[in-house]
Amino acid sequence: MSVAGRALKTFVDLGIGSRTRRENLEGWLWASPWIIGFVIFTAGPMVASVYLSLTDYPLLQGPTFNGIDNYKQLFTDELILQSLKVTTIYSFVSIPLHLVIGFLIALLLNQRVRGLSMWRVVYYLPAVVSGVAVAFLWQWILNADFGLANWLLSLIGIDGPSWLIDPNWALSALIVMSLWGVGGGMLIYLAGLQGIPTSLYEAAEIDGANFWQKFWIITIPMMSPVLFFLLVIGIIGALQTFTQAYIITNGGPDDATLFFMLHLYRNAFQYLKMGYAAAMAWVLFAYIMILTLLVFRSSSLWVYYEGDFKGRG
Amino acid sequence: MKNPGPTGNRMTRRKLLRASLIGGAGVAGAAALAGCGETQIVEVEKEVVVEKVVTQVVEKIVEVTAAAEMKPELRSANLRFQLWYPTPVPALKNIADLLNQKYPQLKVEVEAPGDYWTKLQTAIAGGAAPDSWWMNNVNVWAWANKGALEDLTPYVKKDMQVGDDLEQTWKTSVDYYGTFQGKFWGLPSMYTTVALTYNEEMVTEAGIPPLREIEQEWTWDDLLEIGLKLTKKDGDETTQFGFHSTNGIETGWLNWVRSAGGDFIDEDNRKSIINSPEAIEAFQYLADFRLKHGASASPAVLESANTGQLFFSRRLAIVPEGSWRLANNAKNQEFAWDIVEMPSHPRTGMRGGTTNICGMAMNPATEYKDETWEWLKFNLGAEAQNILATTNTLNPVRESSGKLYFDPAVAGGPPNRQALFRARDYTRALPADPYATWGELVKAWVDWERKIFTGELTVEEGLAGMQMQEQELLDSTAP
Repeated sequence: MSVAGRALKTFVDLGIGSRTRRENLEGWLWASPWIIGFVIFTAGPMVASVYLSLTDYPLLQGPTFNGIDNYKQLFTDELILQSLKVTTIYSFVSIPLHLVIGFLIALLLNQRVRGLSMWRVVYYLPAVVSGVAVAFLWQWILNADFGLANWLLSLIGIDGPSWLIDPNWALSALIVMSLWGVGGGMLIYLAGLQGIPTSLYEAAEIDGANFWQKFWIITIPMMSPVLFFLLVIGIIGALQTFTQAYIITNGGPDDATLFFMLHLYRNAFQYLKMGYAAAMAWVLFAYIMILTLLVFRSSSLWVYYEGDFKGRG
Repeated sequence: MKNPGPTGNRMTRRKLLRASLIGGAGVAGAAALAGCGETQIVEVEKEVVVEKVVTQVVEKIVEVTAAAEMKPELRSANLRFQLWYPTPVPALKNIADLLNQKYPQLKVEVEAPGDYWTKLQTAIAGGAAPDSWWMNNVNVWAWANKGALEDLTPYVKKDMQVGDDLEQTWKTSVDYYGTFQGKFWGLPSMYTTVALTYNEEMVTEAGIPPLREIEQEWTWDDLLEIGLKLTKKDGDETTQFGFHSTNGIETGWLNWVRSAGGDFIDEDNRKSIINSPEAIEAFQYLADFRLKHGASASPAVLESANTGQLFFSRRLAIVPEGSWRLANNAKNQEFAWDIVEMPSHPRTGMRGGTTNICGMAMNPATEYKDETWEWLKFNLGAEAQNILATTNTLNPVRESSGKLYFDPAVAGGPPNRQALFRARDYTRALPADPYATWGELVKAWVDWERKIFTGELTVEEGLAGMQMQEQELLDSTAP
């Protein structure tokens, strides 16, 4: 048998050319734009950043290998601890607020009220405004002298703080500001609420369940996958907060809003320590992974999936 | 490709001009002598016309000869130049057009992208940086140390023209771009100086003579007295601030520290000296304006309006500003304003000043080094520098152009514009370090400065902390 003949036999033996294989190939082909993009713009830089984190890379000249020096330096950088503290407090306060407020708004907008579509648009609209525009807008809302926030507080006799220039209030201001984007979660909640079969509520009503019983026994368990999703996405997003601190407070006053990502950015582009910044990025990655894994591990305790009969007899 | 330099036997511009003028004068003289029988006036007019024509022709020949002798070797290139500050862009485009007229094969695209430093650094790392860019004295040493700038020393050495130009350039600016490690890391182009801008109407209303009239003898004590006189209050609230005392480093405290005899870093750039008695005195003087007298705007006020807005909305009488504000301030026609030199310290008798010197640096990776050099060099020449002056762009480094720039009759008001020129006599550059970046230096002082000027810390506590943090930085970045 000729070489060409052997190759053809191998091709046929492997099933290449069969319908299944062809479909597989087509599938890969259609997915290839994303795969190529992922490899070039995500996986490639990630792999490169592992190497860069082991180098001294001042950006203006090439990297030189320095082992784990950057990782050692993380333990002596006081601002690492401060930025982790700021980022963690922000995340642990803002994420629950987002989850609860988004859910409450979704519950309200799931009722039959007049102008429902309009209300849904109104509550969702802020979520589509760009982060930079929102930051500038809130800079004025939180202005100590002329801001809307302090004017509203003054109506109820409260002398509002200097939100953005007082180290004791600046982080709180950014947390309040983050609630501006609560509409994004609300939309997902709303989709989840509308996916709950009405038959469940009808059955509960026949059994004499009141509003709260239906809420705790049907709505919450049925919505738990949505909550789980938003919690994971929220953790990943909050721990990477950057825009607000960069534009409004520039990490100040007194490092009160020095988010981890801002500190990372400064090291990379203002202090010309790209290798160190790459090491910081991997620390943040590990932190996010640990928290996400904890949430995943705990999900079996509180997330209910329809059709999941685990634990039933 | 090599840059052509002057040769011993070649007909130089000066020789040709001199020879032709002698010839031209001879022709004109002969024409005058030949005019017997006509009136004297006609003869004189003829003489003038002939001289003028001869001069024009000679100049044209000189231009053509100069261009022809210098440039045919230059390749055709579309060069890119970037800077962080948009104000000079129109003037620089004008200069680029002139270069293009002179050497049609050279085109320069002038850009001022936002987030300049981040983009430039990333572009350098990615091999996509422009052919040349603006540097300032606070960054040039650190960038040179990291190999990000082309060493221009060989170009300067072999190009006699630029040697002449540098001799006519403000020496401080040349030192910053031409002496680090004994090499040239760019050619200076513009610089800044600092003075006090004041609302003359407010000053007159308060019964104070225009400050330019007391400029020569006024001291810190006078400024304190005038600043308090110009401060107006409604109960506890200040409605008009007399003097803005907390204006950062460049237009703020460093000038006062220097006036008192201190500084931020020592002359070797390796030791922080900010916790000195002189600096403590200066910071205390400035902090008192805000904390003790309420004469300088608080952070809450500054959150709503910057100092320029406060000044032009008539809520602030005197504000320290850099010369880069002149072009924008000139748009104000609402009220009379002027500038005045910083007051001198009552004990030292010195005034303090700070400058940031901008220069043009070459990308070591550019494929058009000779062509880029022509662009850099052209910007130091009289033609380009005069454009910066007459368009009220920013202080040109060339001394003769500087005279134009600081002349109100050429570049426009304010009347005492020369104060910014005189400020050069006592001006020193912003602190810089060959190893720590400007961003790191700023980070090490900015929080302490805030704590001092908000009264969170005493001046002594704040400066002790500032000195310690700066020194730690300098020690940690040293090789």
